Amino acid sequence: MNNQFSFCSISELSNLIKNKKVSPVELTLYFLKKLETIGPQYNAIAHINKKSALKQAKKAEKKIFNNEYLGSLHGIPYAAKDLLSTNDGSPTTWGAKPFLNQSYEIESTIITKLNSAGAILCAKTSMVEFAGGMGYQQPNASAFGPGINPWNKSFWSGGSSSGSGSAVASGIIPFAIGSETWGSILSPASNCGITGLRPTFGIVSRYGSMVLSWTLDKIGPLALSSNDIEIITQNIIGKDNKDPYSIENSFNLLNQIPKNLKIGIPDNITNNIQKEVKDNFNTTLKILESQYKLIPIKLPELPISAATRTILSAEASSAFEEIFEKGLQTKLNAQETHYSSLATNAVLAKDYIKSLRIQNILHQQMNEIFNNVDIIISPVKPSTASKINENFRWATRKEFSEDHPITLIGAIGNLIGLPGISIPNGFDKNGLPTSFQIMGNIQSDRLIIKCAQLIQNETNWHNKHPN
Amino acid sequence: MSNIENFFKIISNKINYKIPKDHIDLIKNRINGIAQDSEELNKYKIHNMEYPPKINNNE
Repeated sequence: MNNQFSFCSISELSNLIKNKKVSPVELTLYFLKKLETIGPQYNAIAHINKKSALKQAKKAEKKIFNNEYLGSLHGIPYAAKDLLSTNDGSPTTWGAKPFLNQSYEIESTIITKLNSAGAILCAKTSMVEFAGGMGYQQPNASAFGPGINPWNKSFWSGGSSSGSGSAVASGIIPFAIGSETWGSILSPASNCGITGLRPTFGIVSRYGSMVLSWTLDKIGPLALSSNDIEIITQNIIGKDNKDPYSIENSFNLLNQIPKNLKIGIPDNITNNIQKEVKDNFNTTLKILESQYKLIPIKLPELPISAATRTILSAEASSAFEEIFEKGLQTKLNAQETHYSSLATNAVLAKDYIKSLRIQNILHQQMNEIFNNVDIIISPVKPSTASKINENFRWATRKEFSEDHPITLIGAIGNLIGLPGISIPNGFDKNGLPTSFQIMGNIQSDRLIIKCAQLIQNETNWHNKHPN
Repeated sequence: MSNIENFFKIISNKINYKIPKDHIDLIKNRINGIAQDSEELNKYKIHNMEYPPKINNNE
């Protein structure tokens, strides 16, 4: 099979399009075929938007032929996690069997923005049902089956943006959009060896997206490199009056990494983690250490995970109130969630409010830390991908405590909406990717992307692809 | 009756479908997890006049 456009960067593809070496229609047809033939091997696809994609591609082709080039995303195919609604009549399933035929007459703002930039929506990617909001324990928690890892089909692609991760990693789409409430962009990016950005809370509009948690949900890109992430992010950010949580951003204020960048490393960050994750983290660290100052930091001692879980559970019980009333969650793939998810009704109001106050305290304590460092680094996860048929929470908890600094970094980033980027940095003995995370303070999205670019300019892991 | 039992009763009374016997332990385990988080939150004291809940965490 012809693989000429698979694993090309957005810049490479956009140069071909801009110089009229390839048309958006040709490129779209290429990736539609990949999505149709290879996508199902990884359970990556919820729906292929062939008709509307070709319509968009023809429109892009006409504009480019008339020298009306819109920018780097013009004519570039992409996919979107199936919690983002489109108004073309195609389904928006939320990854859940009861909603396989659900569709909306509204278009998510992020899709509107990408369409305005000339990008071509080719498919909706599969996801964990309700973005994991029911409390799933194993990978087969999706109407479309478990996300399969392109590096090794016995392993999970991660979730809840499972399909976005495996679609990009397998080269069947140049980039995809995912979402993260607690780990759902960085986990599949890490498992699948690609680059994923969880942006600052509020800089990407959530209008038109399924809600799991109003306080925690973020939408962000997954792609093959941090260069691509930068291009996509520039096109998807912006205050949106349709999303009350949307904020202005300062993305374009920073152009380069400060000369005196200070890098925070949490105490004990590599304790008791998988050997290859630790070794590869230390190797990547040396690249930063050769140019910048490393500063040990102590993470705040607050009930961070408890607060994050409490907020997530309480808001999920409200967001999915109608689903629980009708008992629709009993139709989901993850049987362990059919009735246990009802437990979210047990969150006390005082605990929810306490958690919001802890969020406030955490903001202030992290601001103090960020007075002394510019970024914080860690492995994304303590281990590589778990097996398809394994309870992943058990798989990680076997060896690693919930209070591990890596878990806390994830909780901190999501509880207070800090941006984080995951980049691949090697492999384990089974050929599964390991990864490195850079987290910054609010609105430092471009800084962490630039730091990721520095590492990717000196390494080649992001150019490694599964066969 | 323990708190877990109380919550289980409240939850099952709120819905108009029956919870199968083989799922009861799963719900109770999850309620127990929420109760443990509640205990952990309770250990952390915040003075009445400090740290109000933020409405938008980017303010």
